[in-house]
Amino acid sequence: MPEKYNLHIVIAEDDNDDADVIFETFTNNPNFRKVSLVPNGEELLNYLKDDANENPDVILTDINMPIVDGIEALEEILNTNELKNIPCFVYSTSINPSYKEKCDVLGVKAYLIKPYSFEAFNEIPKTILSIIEL
Amino acid sequence: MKGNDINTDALLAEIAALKEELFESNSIVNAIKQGDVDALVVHNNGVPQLYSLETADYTYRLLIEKFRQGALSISRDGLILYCNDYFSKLVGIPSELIIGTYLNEYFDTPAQFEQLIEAIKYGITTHEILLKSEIGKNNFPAYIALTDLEPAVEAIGIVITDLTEKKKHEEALIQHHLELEEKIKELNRINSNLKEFIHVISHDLKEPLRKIVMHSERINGSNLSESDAKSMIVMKLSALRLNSLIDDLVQYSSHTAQLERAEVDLNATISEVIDDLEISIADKNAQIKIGKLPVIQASRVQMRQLFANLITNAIKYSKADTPPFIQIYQDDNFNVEIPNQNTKFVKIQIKDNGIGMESSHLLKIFTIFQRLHAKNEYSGNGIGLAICKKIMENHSGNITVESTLNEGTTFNLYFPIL
Repeated sequence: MPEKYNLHIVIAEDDNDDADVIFETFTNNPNFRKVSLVPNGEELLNYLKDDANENPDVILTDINMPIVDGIEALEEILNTNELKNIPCFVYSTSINPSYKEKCDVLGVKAYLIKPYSFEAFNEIPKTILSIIEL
Repeated sequence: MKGNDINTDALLAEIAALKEELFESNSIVNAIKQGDVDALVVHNNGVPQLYSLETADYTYRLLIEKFRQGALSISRDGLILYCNDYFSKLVGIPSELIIGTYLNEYFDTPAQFEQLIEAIKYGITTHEILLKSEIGKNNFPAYIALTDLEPAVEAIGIVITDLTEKKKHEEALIQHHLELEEKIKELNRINSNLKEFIHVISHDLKEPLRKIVMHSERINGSNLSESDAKSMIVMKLSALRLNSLIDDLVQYSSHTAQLERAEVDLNATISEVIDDLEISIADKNAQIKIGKLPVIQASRVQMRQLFANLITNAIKYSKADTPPFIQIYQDDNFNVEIPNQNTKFVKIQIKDNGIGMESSHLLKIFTIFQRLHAKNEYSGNGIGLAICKKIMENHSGNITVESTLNEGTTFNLYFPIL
């Protein structure tokens, strides 16, 4: 169980506009002390495997990304002993039933929908906190 | 002497007459033996009597000789007493070489013969067997029918039907079936690819839309002129509408014919739908009367969607001054079979007292994105009835509509009885 109120989250997001918003959202939330951004699934895996980086408390990833997409990255993360206990979340513009099913099988904590307003973006950290608290 | 001569003459005449009679009898017996006799006419005290000879009945002999199935008569131990031309063709041996042999010599498994004879006792007289043929030394499948001819004749009649062609057809049928299955698999593959394609496309279209909506909200309207602010609102609403159209399109494409059928009690389904629509029903003071409804084989999810769309429509297109009154019931008087369809159908009607439609519009309403009203008059994208039509097609059924302007609309649902 990660230490609450003092969390480190890694976010994989290829879209610069969304990356700005999501980075700002988590930075403004007092429960997160550190927010790391990576531009795709491959970079996410590199970040996690790099011994110079500490393991994060939470992972949030977009699905549709170049090179290595979110699902492929999660497949590797959740099948790696040192990483599989990190709570993983997915967020995407729409729910694709086949992706949703893969996420459920992999053990992703939740499949979130990218919001249509800035206020709703602020709900994402709260939703994640409420789920990992369980 | 003279008296003796007369006696001798009379006796000689009698001998000659008897010889003639004997010759005549012999000719008849020979004629019967050779099968040249159909019937005998014997004069008994001037009254002609007809004796037809069964074994020599020419018509039947000819029929059996010529007909396109193997015909034989055998003794109880299998000795072939007679075989027709066709049997000799089937096994590829001249008939004179067949007569006098044993039937089991022509069986692929000679021991089967005993079983066939034994089976007659139990009334089982037809079997499928493998016969040997000299032609290409091939075995061929055949149907054998045995008829005990006793007590009329001490023999067993046998009819043999060549199943080679039938087996070929059966194999061809199986082959076609396999090909069909392969085609179905391919179609399913294409279908799921298409579904996947729709999701990916919708995702890619929605991504920029979401940003337009999100960022247009962030623009500080107080710095804008009145007309600019108005344009901003139009842009934002248009983006939202485009977004909902994409959602509907995905929903429309997700209702496929590959559905899980279960026993669906339409009474239960409709009460669930009414619970879901509680707010809009209360809002419009709508009354819904449910009549007798059947239990049908259908997809539960699609039935809910179907009735939700139809009830929502009935509430939405109600008259401003009259609360909606919706009746849903099975039409018991519906017994007519749809022409060229072997299946029987149940008919369910959904009748409202709403604004109705002009008959010229009725054909259009089941087409996706067709709307009869201005957007600001009634909300929606014009997809509800298109989905209803698709759901009915998925269930091999049909939906039709009757309507009178300013009086109301009735939708008819036809479900095949499975």
